[in-house]
Amino acid sequence: AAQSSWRIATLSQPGSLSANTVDDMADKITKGSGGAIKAERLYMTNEQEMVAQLMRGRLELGALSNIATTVVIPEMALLGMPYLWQSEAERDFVTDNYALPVMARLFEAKGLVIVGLGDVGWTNVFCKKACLTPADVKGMKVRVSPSAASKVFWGSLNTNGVQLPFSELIPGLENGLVEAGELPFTIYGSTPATQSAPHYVMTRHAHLGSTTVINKALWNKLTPEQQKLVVDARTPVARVRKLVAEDEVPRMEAFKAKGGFVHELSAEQRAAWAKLVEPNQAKFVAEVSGPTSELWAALQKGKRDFAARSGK
Amino acid sequence: METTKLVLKGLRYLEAFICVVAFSIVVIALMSDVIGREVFGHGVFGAQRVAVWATAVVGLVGFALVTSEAGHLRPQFADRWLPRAAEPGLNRVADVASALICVFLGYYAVLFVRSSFELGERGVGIPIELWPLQIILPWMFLSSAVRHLSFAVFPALKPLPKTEH
Amino acid sequence: MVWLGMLALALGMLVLRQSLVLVLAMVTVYIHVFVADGKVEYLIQDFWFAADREVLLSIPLFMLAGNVMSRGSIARRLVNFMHAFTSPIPGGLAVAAVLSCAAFAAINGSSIVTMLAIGSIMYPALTASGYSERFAVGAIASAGTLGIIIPPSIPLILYGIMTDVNIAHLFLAGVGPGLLLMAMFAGYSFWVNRKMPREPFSAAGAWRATLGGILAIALPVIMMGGIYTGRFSPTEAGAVALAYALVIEFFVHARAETLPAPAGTGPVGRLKHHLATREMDLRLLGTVVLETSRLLAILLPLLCIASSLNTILDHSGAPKQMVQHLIGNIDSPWVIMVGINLLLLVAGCVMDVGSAILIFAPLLKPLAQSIGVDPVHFGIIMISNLEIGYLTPPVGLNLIVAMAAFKVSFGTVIRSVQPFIAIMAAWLVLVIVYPAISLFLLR
Ligand code: NA
Ligand code: NA
Repeated sequence: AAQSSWRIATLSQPGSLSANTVDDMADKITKGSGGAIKAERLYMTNEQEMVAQLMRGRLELGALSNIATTVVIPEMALLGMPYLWQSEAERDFVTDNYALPVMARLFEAKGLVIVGLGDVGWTNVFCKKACLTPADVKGMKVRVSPSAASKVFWGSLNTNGVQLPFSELIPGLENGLVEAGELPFTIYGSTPATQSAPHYVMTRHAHLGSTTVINKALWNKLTPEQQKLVVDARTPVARVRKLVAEDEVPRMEAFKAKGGFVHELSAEQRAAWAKLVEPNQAKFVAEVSGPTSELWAALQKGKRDFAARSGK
Repeated sequence: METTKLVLKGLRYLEAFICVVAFSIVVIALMSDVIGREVFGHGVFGAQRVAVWATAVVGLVGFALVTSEAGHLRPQFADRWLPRAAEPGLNRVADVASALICVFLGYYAVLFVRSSFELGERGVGIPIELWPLQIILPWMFLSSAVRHLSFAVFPALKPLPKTEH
Repeated sequence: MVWLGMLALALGMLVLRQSLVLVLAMVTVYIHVFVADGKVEYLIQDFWFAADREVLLSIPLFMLAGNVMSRGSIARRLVNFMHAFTSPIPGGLAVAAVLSCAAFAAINGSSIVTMLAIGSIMYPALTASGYSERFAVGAIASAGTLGIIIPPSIPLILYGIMTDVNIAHLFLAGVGPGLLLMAMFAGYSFWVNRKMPREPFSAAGAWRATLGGILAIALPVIMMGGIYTGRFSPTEAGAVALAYALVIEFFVHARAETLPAPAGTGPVGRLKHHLATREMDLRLLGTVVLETSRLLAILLPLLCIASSLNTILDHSGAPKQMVQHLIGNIDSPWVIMVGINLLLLVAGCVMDVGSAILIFAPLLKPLAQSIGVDPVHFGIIMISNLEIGYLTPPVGLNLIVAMAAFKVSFGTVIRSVQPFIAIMAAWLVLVIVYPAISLFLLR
């Protein structure tokens, strides 16, 4: 039989942790299929294009950040809402048990089947100086990424937002067009932003998750064994989260050794940021999904159940 | 022929108008972002996106405008391969062929816009549905097809090529 | 057999007098369907995603700014200024064109933008001053490529991101090769134009030209200052340049034949008279905008098709296989280096620089390191190779843009850049053999 070749598209840079897990998945699929499938990682730079091609079956598999999926599933922005989560435990519990089943339905309606969840990490603030309080960034020129969450976060802090595509972020920082921005450390740590804006402030204001998806038409054509092979090839999300957290430690040490600063925030300091953003959360929800969104209801229920559970 | 001429003229004015307006939007969007940011301490969210889309409108709707002026680049080295006597007839055949190609591409552009509509694809940052904007894709090809067909039927309507090489 | 079919399709369409854009579109459709096992609709998808990119924004803005400057008087005034100072040197204006491209390269990161911004002013100036069309197109199209080697540079940023090499170091490493190439281009421009007539230097004339051109001369300073002080991004600099040009052509620069307002005119009348005698009015602006729209409409669909071909290559994995083949079969470092360069030169012919870096940088950097090439130096080697690709068909963006912007035939453009490609080949060898040209600022 002819060998079918699959591409697993990802935005992650070659050599990064998430690119490595994609390589790992490709290897497992290729070997596990006994030569029937040849899977390879495909590096892409335009996530919107990636989503479009996955839905239409031009690409077979892809690892999509939650920001990317908002272009077809607007309510996916809810998972990246600033100050949605109180803790990692809450985030993981609610995401895995309450959000995922709803997400699976939303994705299927767009021709995508979720193979597994992934993790990019907490989004934190980076800055040219030590921006520990909201007063430090008030009026400052900051890079706002093209997402509703970024808009509400920086808008609530009364900054002077500058919308820049990722490719213009680094020159913008070097020229002083912007003085701060937000990125998970997995991304920030591998850019020269570490030199031009060396203060990394652990605001942990939002979380960036990802999903590994397969085109639905292709999925339906697979045998049950092949479907199992694909799902098993993906590193389980609990393991991915652990890897992301573990990977961050040596990377942050290397960053500090090169003259970078990592600022941990106390509970009060974090609350000072949250206090300004939280009043705008309702507006954010209304804007990205409307109050009747099934995903929003699931998140609310999950958060209540988590509070009740941990209250016991 | 007079009716066709009138229709083509109207279409050309419409497309020229769209291009000028869209180009103005590009400039106004980007300038208001810079001025807002530097003078009022507050930029315009989504200005770049709007400018990108307006650029696409200029470049793609403009495609049909250029067709109406016979302004597309055309390699001429193969012209010598056929006898000169075939020329007048050949030009009409050429327009029929161009019209067919444009209808072919326009048909697939319609399919693309339909799938975008069905999938509900939206913009990054500005979450509006994209399909109304993407109509420029079928437009550029189908509007060009109308021109080529008219030129084939009424060769007198075809302007002298501007940029043949 | 498949490729024969493609050739037949292309030739058939050419005999049937189809336009370049339709020929390329149908050839790309053919490749999608018969080579890449895809669908016709993919071309349309790629059209959309190619047009829907921020990186394209600076192109229409600099095009329009350039057209405003040449339809108004900025270009003319700049030429007067340049001419006043360079006229005593044979080929002086040609040298000035190369130096202007280098100066503009220092404030933006793109080859096409450099070519358009300087070319829209310098091309009419050169041809009007008696330089051949062929030399003028060649010099500007070629010197425009300085935009990606003299920092800042979008391709160098991409290389840094893809390979985890320090971008600030890459920028420093681009300075030496950039200045060397500028000097080689300038030297050549002087030499081929050494028979051009020269004129005596007039201090009074130079002063007048400086005064008349002062607002035009200020523009690069405003742009450079604005970018380096973080007022606006390089893309937005296009909008600023345009707004600046509009303001001075609408409100300041007067038409040459202007008479003063009649005596006894009131303040309102004087204002009306002032506005009515400026270089630009709304009607002319409309014409210029429409003219620029036409250029963009010729260029953008071609860019979309090029982007679709790139996507096919990306998805096919062919580039990856080529590199693996290279590693597997050769063990001499110099042979590998020559192989890498040939691969990159071929890639430069058929791909745009951004895609070539995204695909090849992560594959080739480890290979280069394995034969002892410094990763920063290799970044410069890579960009230098791909820079030549801007001037080589079939996908040579500077060629296509020059053809559209300066209204010359494709054949003329291709012939015009040939001596410059030869210079760049010699330059490339120097850059490869002497790492110090790139790395001296880093030591
Ligand atoms: Na540059
Ligand atoms: Na090329």
